[in-house]
Amino acid sequence: MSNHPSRERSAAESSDNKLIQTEVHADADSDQTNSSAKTVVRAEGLSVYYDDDRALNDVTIEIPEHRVTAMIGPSGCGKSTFLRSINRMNDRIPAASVEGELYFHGKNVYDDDVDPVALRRKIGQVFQAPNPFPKSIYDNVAYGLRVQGQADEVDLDSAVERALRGAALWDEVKDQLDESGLDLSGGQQQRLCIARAIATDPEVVLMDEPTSALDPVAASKIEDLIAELAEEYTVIIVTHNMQQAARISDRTAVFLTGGKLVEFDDTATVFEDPADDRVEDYITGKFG
Amino acid sequence: MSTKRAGEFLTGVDLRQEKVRNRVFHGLLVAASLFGLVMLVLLIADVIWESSQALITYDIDLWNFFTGTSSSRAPQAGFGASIIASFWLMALTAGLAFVIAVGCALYLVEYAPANRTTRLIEANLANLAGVPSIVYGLLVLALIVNDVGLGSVILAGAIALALLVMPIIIVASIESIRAVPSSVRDGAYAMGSTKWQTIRRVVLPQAMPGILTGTILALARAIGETAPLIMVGTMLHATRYPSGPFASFSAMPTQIYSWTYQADRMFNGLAALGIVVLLVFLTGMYVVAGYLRKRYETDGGSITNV
Amino acid sequence: MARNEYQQQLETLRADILEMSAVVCGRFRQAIDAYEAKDDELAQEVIDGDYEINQLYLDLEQDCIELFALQQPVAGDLRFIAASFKIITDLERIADLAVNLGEYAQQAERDRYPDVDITHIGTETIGMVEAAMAAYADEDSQRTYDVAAMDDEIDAYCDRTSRIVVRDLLDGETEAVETLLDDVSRMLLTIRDLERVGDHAVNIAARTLYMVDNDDELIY
Repeated sequence: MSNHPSRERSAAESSDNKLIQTEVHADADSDQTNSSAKTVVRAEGLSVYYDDDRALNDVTIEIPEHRVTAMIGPSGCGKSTFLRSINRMNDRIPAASVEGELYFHGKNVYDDDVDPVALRRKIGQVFQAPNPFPKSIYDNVAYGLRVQGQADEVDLDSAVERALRGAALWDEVKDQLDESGLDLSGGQQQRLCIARAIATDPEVVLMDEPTSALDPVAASKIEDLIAELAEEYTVIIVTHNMQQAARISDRTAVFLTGGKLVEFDDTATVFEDPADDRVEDYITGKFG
Repeated sequence: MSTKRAGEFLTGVDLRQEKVRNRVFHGLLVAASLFGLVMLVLLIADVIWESSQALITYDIDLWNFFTGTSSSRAPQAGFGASIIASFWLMALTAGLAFVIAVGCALYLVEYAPANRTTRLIEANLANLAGVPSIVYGLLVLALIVNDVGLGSVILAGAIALALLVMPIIIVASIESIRAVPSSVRDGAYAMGSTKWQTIRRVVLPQAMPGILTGTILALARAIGETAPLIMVGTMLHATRYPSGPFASFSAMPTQIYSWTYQADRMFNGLAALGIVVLLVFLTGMYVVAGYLRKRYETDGGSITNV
Repeated sequence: MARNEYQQQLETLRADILEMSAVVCGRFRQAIDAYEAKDDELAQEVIDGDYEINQLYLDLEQDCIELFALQQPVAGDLRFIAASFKIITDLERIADLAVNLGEYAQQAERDRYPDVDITHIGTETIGMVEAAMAAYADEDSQRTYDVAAMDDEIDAYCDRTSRIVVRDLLDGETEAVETLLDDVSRMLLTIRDLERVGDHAVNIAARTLYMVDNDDELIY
């Protein structure tokens, strides 16, 4: 059974017997905890095209702050495209064009006066295959601070340590900060990438299938980490693995064919009693 | 499958003809490789033989050889000035070619739009690398030496050599920069880097070993180039140590060339020695390039689980 | 359709549970018949048959757990297995109550309380169980409410019946107090057992409602 921080906040839920919600007030509490959160990212009628192909179809969604929001769905249904729209990494794809709005703290990130570089400094991203820079561990984590011109103002050493601790990597690498980041194991490299992303204290951390290239042990370490990360940041994670989404997320968005957002609700609801039959068919494995 | 049939399968098939064919081709390939090796060995052996003979026959003073300047009088002729001239040339060539070549490569890979013009430019770079070196000499002679009026000086020679090696460095740099995986660039952009920051802090450092290797190899080619320098105009004898980029000169290959045209047989001996020196430098540069390539090949390697 | 093996297993589970309920209801009706006909042999069959039902229960419990562990069911499938998991417990208890009824059939002194119609209560309550299982089989949430309503009547009937028995005890002659007390307590326990069967039927209906509509209204 899942037992990450936001679940513990709604004290009415016990660890067993989650199958039958025998106490009516348990529902209300968890609903309240989940819905009382502020919205940090909001999409309105967002559509993304690659040339003529519509990858994302009229998506409207409000993503709450300080929660883990998971996005699941079959391959090619727009989850990664949506993720990339949030920090405008889609801009790097020449064929991509965007319709609709996406608001970050109330400001449409696609407005003409928004600099994508500045946007990305507030939003961290972790990729599917770990991609540390071919530099030392220290330089990897310090990269963001240096690039954003904060190297002088901030005590780099303590910032690096804080980030590595936040990524549950400090104890393993504290004596080898000068060694290349590429000498680490896959799971460690991914945690290094997480440290790198949070070193600049972003508001949102985007994760695109962060554990799919890792073995189960490394993956579960990172899953534990994600729960902790949500206390400080907002985590939006795309995952192919439904059980992972069920384990670690507070809210789940389901994208189905054609880039349509079909359901977005508390994770417990999606996995126990989804509103949409298509979602039920997808998560029980009847298709996709 | 019964044991009987299995046995037939394993021993009853006639593979002799194929085995023979196998061996024949193996032998031919070995011979082809050996050919190149044998030629190289013969060449080096010949040179060493000639030079050691010369050392003995003419009683060449090695100290004078390495430190002295050349002269029309064979016993007093030395190679030192030419060696220094070559160093000057390499330094200037590298300086001129490197910056422009890397800049060009960066532009083509990172900034240029992916259209026909770009592809045309890249295709023609390879062609440029195949242009006979004497052409660059002629070009510089006409433009730099005569029109600009610089004269037959080291800088002019360096310009000719730089033009010669630039396409080589550009191609090597393009390969190295392209070899930087897009995942690493994505990581940099996602961190909020500008394009230049990404290039300066992530792409270039990772591509640099490849770029340097390419540069050293290009310089190894340049160090032995004779024709363009002759076109530009070298001294018959390097009688002075070059004072700077605007001095007249004769570099190692051109001095060797001049010496072989002299009447005095001793000059042939000196030329042989000069060739040995040139080869040593060449070998040194290949070793350095090889070391660089080896070292950075294992770094930046596998990122899967270990 | 994907996950064929898994879909098969779900169907098999459903079929097995329906079979178990058929066996249990059959046994219970057998007990009622044994009581009605004062057939000690038939009653003994019921009592001996409990072993078979306990085995069935253990097997089905294991099936449910395996499905949880190996197939990670979610949504409708999850509620189906969770509900089934609870329903087999209720069915097993009903079988135990059938055994009690069988024992009572062998020991009871019939004529004492003509106003108390064991056969009637028994038939009514096992009818409730069958109705609940029918709702389960058809995934019909409407009928689950009907079963809950029936239970109120049964409870009222059992309550009245118990009063009759106790009143009789107080009013009656004081001869052979010992045997009288035995009879009365056996009778009262049997009435309560039969009422319990009704409660189990409501449980089954409640789990079915949860399974179909994700509604825990009937679960007390």
